[in-house]
Amino acid sequence: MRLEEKIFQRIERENIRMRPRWFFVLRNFFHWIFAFTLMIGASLAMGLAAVSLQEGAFFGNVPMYFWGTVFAGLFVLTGRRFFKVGFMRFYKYGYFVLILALMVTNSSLAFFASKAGAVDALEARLETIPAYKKLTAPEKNIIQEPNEIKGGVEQGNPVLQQQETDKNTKDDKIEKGKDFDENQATASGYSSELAKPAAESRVTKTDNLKNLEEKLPEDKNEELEKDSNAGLVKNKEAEKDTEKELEERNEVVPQVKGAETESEPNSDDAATQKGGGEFSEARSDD
Amino acid sequence: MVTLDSMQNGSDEEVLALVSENEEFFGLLIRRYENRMLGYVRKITGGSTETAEDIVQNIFIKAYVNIYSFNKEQKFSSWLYGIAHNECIDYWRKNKKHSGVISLDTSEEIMAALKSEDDLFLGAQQQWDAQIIRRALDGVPNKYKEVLILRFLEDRSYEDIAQILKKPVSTVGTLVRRAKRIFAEKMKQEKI
Repeated sequence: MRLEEKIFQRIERENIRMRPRWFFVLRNFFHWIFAFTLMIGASLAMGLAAVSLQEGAFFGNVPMYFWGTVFAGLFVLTGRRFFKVGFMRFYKYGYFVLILALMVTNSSLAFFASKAGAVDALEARLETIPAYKKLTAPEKNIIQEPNEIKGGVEQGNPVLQQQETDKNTKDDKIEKGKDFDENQATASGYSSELAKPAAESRVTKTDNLKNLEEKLPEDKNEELEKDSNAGLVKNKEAEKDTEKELEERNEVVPQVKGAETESEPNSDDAATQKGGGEFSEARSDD
Repeated sequence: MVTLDSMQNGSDEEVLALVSENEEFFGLLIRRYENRMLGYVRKITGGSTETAEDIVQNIFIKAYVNIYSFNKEQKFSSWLYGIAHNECIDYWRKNKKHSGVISLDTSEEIMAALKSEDDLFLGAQQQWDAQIIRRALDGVPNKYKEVLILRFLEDRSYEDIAQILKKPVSTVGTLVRRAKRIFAEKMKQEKI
């Protein structure tokens, strides 16, 4: 039996049919779509790698390495796909021409995508994914930030503990101010009951001023500073007066030390004055 | 009305365009290429005539199924050789142990030539040379062997080979150059 007959018999026996023309047209269309999608993906990965490089150093830049690897993978896949679907256009030229053409196209697309803000938008979207955020978060450098770390040796093993940086809350400041004022008041021989409200009002004032400074523009800040300097002079004058007054009272206090109730109004003054003094220091520091 | 007889001298592409109307035109293409395909497959796979025939059947059936995927910018023969190339790769994958083994048909052909009466010595000598060349060719890796066969035994151009192997023309040039060097080394080993 001739080969031709054998083939036709097999076609009939196995009910083999020609694939319709639309099948190839559709398949070709999807191949091109896939190739272009890969190319856009590669361009975005390139843009993200470039942004990561701009934001950080070359060595140890994990996001850049990540996006660089993604770009390399997508680039190879894009090249293969384009060579396959557009074979009759590309086979006359070497791989080098295809790689060069893809590189130029990818770079241009990445450039336009970052100019249009697509890369930043994508990065912002990716930041919402916890796994990606973990990947891109910079590692704590113990050598460069030793103040952030405290610890010691526990049962022969070194133990590192990270300090809680947000400890310095308003309440802590008030507590610290209260302790300070209490000590001062005790040293001066006055009651410490009014120390806490004084410290509280001082901290609130400082916080309010800081908030104001942040909100105000620079020229307003300068004006405020002038006023503040004038206030400082006044404060110093008031301090001197108070010191004089205190000195006079100290002479009286040992005689009535047993009756603490009498000293209360004075301690309030002292705390307020001290508070004013500390506030002045805080202002001058700023 | 185009008849089978009137298309006997028509080009492959013209005949192919008529296959969708009448399947008999596909028979015409089979008749045109069956011997070439059988020879090519036998050279590439080094298998027996039966194995080659099975592979060639698969080649023509694949061509029949995917007839509408034929690109008119391409030659029909290159497209068919491309399918043959894929089928041979499939065969190598399935029969890794047998790849590179010399076909027994060569010695059978020598015996046939020896038995024939006309120009006995010359025929035998040619067959003997062919066997030595085939042995040297079997030592060449499949990738290069295919290029050598296409270029020097099938007499295909670089462009055709590029279309068959789905590689750029410049790559085909490199492959041919390397294949020739490897083949020359094998021939030296065979002391020719």
